[in-house]
Amino acid sequence: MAFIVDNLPTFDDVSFGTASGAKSYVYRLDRLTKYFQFSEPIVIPANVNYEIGFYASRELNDTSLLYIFGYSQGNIDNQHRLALSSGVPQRAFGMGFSSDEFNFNGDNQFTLTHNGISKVTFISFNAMTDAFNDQTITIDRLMGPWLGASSGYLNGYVRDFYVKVNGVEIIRIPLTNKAQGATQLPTVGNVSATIANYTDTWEEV
Amino acid sequence: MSNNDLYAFVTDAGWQAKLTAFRPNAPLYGGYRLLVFTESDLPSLEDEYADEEFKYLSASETIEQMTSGAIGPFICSIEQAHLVAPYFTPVGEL
Repeated sequence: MAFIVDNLPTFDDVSFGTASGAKSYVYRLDRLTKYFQFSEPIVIPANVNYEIGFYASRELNDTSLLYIFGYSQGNIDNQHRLALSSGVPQRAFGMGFSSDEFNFNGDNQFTLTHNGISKVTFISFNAMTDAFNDQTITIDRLMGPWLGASSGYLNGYVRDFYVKVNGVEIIRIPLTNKAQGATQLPTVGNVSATIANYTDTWEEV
Repeated sequence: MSNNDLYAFVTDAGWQAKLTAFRPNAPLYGGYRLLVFTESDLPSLEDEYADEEFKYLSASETIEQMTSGAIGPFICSIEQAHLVAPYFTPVGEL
């Protein structure tokens, strides 16, 4: 069953989401096999104000275009490959970053809002459209392959994933709890994230 | 990156036959699935699949073998896997 946002509060101004305090561990992905699979799709209704965010690092030698979010089903054409597809019944959704000005091996903060990607720390983006405003967004994985492509794999870590809708945080998964192992539990909401192809590659920070 | 992970390229048919429970989300690179495991897993995997010939080749040799459709499995480090995988599925293209 998909996670559906309902009973939404009235929109108020959304400030950039802050991550929680420093954690002891981050999980090192491998750009080959590992990614985060959500326990159920996160569905953001059309015509709401939303914010999706997280921190991530990336290896210096990895300069290829990176597609961050994904939904594994649906048809998507080249024109819409970084935005929402108008295909039905499933819509595909991605978010791409080039390597320009990326703070490699650093802790980069990413956000995506109804107005587009926020360039918070040295992030550039390309080919985004404003199609995110009026269509349902479905995300079922983070830093993983989608639509059969390997473009989403990350050579680095990601932490403190969250989703806000109309200014209210509905999901937060720190992704930093080594003791939880492969399945990382949320601190807000009911969606967990399982690390596909898990091995113990936690790194103390 | 420093970790003790090892990787194995195995044929998709071999993965379908024996390894889906171990790695149900193993990605497909060409006609091969890429499995990740730890160094400590290797002896038990070699025992469990004693009828298979585990091959430890260079990245270029692995590419050559996979291109020719060899069975494997091909065991490699993460560095080698990063060289082999893009050869079969270019990263950054949809």
